[in-house]
Amino acid sequence: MNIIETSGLGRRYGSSWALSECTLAIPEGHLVALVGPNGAGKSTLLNLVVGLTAPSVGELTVLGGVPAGSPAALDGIAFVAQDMPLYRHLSVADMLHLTRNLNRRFDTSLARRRLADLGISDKRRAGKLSGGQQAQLALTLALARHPRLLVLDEPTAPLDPLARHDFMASVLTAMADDGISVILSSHLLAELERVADYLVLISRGRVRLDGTIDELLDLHRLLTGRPDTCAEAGYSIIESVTSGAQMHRLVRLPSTDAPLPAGCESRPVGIEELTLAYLREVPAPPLAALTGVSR
Amino acid sequence: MSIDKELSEASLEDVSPLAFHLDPSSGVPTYLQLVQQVEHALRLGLLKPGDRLPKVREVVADLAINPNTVLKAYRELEQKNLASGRPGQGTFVNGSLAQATLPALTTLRRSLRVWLTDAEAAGLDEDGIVALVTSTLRDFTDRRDPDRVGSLARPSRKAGGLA
Amino acid sequence: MTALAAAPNPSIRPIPWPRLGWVAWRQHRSTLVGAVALLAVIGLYLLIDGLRMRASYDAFLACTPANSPACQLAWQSFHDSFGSSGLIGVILMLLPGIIGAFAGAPILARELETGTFRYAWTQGAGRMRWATSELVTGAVGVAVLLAAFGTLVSWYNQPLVAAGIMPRLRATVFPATGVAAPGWALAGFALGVLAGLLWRRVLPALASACAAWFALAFLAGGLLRQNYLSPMTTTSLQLSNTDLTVGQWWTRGGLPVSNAEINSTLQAVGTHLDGSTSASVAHVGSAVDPVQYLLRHGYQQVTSYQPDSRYWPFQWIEFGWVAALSLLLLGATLWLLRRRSAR
Repeated sequence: MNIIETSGLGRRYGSSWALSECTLAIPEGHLVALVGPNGAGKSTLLNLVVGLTAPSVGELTVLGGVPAGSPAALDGIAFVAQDMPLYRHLSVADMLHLTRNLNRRFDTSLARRRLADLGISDKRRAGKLSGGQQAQLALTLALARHPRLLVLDEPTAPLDPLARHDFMASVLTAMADDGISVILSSHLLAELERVADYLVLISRGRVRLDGTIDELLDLHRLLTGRPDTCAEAGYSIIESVTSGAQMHRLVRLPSTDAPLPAGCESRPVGIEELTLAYLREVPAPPLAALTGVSR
Repeated sequence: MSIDKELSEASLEDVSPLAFHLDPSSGVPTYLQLVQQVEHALRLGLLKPGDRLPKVREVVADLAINPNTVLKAYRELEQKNLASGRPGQGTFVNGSLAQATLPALTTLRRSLRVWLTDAEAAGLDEDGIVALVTSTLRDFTDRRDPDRVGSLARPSRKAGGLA
Repeated sequence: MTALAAAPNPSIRPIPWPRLGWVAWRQHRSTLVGAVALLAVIGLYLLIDGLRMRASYDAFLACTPANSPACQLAWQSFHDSFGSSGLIGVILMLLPGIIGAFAGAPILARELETGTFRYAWTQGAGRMRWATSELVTGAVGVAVLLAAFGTLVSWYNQPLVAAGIMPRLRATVFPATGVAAPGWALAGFALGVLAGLLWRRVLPALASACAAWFALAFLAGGLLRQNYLSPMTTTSLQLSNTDLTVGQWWTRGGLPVSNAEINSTLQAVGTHLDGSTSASVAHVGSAVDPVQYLLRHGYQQVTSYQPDSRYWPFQWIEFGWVAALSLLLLGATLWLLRRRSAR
């Protein structure tokens, strides 16, 4: 079952396309890291998934074929936007009450337990909580809805490292407990390897990488060698760096058992390295995306 | 790796004798660090067959890592026949890597301490000792088993499938 | 790892309205409290002043004989103290629009301005149901409050109406009374809500809603209201204080006569009419009263007017179209909201 499935999805604002030709098939049960430069289209994709905006072209379904923005989709998706939108003048208890009244399914006892564990008092105004507490409150409200998909838009940006760790631990524990899928947009590449197992990289409105991290790492190699002895055998070059007589090329293999060119030293790359290379990449004709088809 | 000896001796059902930790800067993939820590404990006899590995949820909550990563590590251990999962109960150690009995280990440790004293007397510092041991070990295993790949590298790509 | 996530429910029950009503009330509780407080203050003033007025009027009524100097004095005292509306009249007239706009503008504008729409519109209820409950709750609240207010103002005006000195149809009185008040409050509310959606910021929405409301009220008072029913006409020179004059012109032999002809006729005898339509004012410094001269020479002054007796029909007509317009604006807001996307 694909938690997010798109086909030729595009969104235009005025005359510029924030997202175009986006085709994804993301299976459930993963934590999807959505990575890309600012303004690349990450927030647009997330807004489309949660139904805050509608596609200009193409199709988008969530939760296994449900149209995005429909009541069934809203029911099963919980969204924590950037800046943790909460009603600052309402108390924590009011926010719980509010969320309960706006949803069919709300686990009040779970929410209360979490907030008690975190030391967040019912009576405090949401606006008076610290940044980390607001994030945890917003996350609690989302998780208590028992969604099937949790969507997070740069949730940890305003948090200090400890608050960030606690936040992600909560998200990942919910994955372990409830089997929810998560998609989160983030700039924190260093964390990717630890928390994510699926990657979607968007740059200039187009998807450049899409697949489980294991698959993506299997498909890329860093080739090192002298230009005359090491030829990349026609594979796509993502990045090429020359230092002295040596050339380092990050190539993308067409399949996991494609042969490595002789005359080159090759080593695998890490996910952070790979992501940086794609982010730095000068736009090339759109690569055929690897769709995360479950094997 | 911290082994809670008192608890394991008390054999509380709910607590696993092994607690994972993560070294984010080591460059070793997370799941592999978990596998290595289990193998390390097994090798030293600190984990015995029948001991329960930590529950996925506990590992995730402690280390803030992806549950699929923990599952991947446990699957790898199952493939190596070191552990097996019992539905509803958890993953339990069933193999053993203890390559030597505890008395043998004690003897080896003692002779190693003697060698280390000699090495220090010869003027080697800690890095020099490690370099000497590593290169001698590599020569030793290469000569004995030319096809084996070092355990610290990423597992080599197997043809036609995911690692 | 347990997989507890439920399968998609093909028939999704909608969230019940009472729950959404609680949400709307809780979110705008402070607006409601503010409006009630403001109306309570003004209402208290009206109550106290109204009781004083009644005492004065009753004193006048009880006074006999009617033509004695003492009773004339009682009349004068009543008339002078309470006859003119002044500043309080203007405030009362503007109040429905202001309260409506202040209640309506923040509903959508504040969500968009602070970003909380990203929370509110992604909950299970969805944005349409959420917005509908907010708008209906706000509209009903505003209408009920201002209906009570309009009733209070009508009660306040009663002695003045009975004494024949309150022009109920006048533009500064009519919209604050009876059922026109809640109608105009709804208009302010609907304009506020729509402005809030278009501007996405509370302050510009408030300002533009108030401006639009004022323009609409001006249009109604200056042009529309006097034509709700065909005006009546009279040739009498004595016009009642409580009737609303629509127009005035001269005729001769049943046909209208232009002002130019009137002026040339009067200039021939060395006088003219000043601009005021009051028929009984004599021109100062001339021996000839222009009006009497025209009347003696076969001219007649025709005045079209709306009688005070049409007050209630006009109230319902005005409420009808203003409320209909408000509903149209609210409907348009919901339609736009459905298509609105978030950046």
